Amino acid sequence: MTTILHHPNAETLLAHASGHLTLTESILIRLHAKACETCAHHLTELEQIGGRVLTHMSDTPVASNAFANLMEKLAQEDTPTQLSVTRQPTIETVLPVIEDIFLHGASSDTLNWQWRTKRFAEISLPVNDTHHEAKLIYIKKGMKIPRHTHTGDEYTLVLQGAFSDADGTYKRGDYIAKNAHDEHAPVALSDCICLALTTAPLKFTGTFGPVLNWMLNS
Amino acid sequence: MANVIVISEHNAHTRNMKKDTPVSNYRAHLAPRGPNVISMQEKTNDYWISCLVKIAQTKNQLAFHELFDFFAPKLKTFYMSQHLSFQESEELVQETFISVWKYADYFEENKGYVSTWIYTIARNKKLDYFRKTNRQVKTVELVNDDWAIDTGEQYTIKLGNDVVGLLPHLTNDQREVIQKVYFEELSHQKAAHVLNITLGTVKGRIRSALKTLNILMGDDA
Repeated sequence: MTTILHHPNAETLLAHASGHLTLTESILIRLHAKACETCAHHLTELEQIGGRVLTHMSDTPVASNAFANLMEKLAQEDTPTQLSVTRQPTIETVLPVIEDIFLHGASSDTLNWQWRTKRFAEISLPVNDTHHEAKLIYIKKGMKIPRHTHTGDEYTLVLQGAFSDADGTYKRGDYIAKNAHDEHAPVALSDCICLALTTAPLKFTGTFGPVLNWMLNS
Repeated sequence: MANVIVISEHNAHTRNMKKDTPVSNYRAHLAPRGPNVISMQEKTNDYWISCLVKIAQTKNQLAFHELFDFFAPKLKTFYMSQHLSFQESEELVQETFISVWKYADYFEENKGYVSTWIYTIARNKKLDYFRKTNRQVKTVELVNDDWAIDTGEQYTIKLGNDVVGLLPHLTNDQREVIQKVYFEELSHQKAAHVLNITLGTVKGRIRSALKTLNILMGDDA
């Protein structure tokens, strides 16, 4: 396995371990950790903290019939139920496909790519989450994406192939976080498939909004 | 001072002697523990593993019941600490144990602590529930603010060390913040409010706690 050079930073790992990333955001971290032993190990360590503190929590009594209810539910689950058929694919329903592409080098030809140009295609993944947009992106070798910034932050996981921008070269398994101010013009070094997650721009509007905006932006 | 992990009766007592932080009531989540917590813990992890094995192999309900009796009330506290109602917490506890029952045979891969495994299930249930109910998870600050994007700061703890054993070595501030990160629906903003300190200080404390962990692990990087 090639060495992964670009990892989520400590705070992102902590945010994931402690349940402060949305499910959509955690998918990128979880996928990265499947290919990156180091981050997988760090996450286990951080999750151990969670487990240990859980063990030391005080008790809140559960309903007296809670266990009986539980066993009843489990008995019902044993009878196979008909799954609902036509569900809008979300990032989770296509996750096995993404994992196949990422972990086993599977072909992505069967996917419903929307070709925007001859060398650039994408698939939008509905994430059911108002703060994010997720896309699979296919860039053919040599394709240069025009220089751009993002309205929000952008997190990218390279699933296959490689691309580079002014900051570095990114290969399979690399996790790249860019914020709204980062301008970049990626070039695909080989046919490259990425999972990209973008956030809507963040503005604090609550009571402390002005103060936070000032603190975060100054 | 508000302790996160109470190691022994003796330590707990010593620590109780000097309550000097602004949030001493924070202990409310934490049950006082007897003198043998750690050694009991090591033993019981093996015990909980044997329970999971019985569940996985023979669908043993007694073993399952034992796990439930120990962890269910703690999980309920956990969910309630995430600002979920009594009823929601009760249901999420049920869902957590449905997964424990169904996926007990997957525990092997995770090795380590049963408590870690159950914690991750509960964390994911929470996130799933938050999304289904369109509830805001977070802590946008952790993800979106400037230093979360700073790719220069890697988590550098060395492989093979048990991070949990090092928690007692953190300063109280550091431990308190780490605790809050896990078990309150903490945004840095809220922590700042509670602790009556600035947002920057909270970030600094988390950063310094992580650094201290790295140093204690013997990694100078």
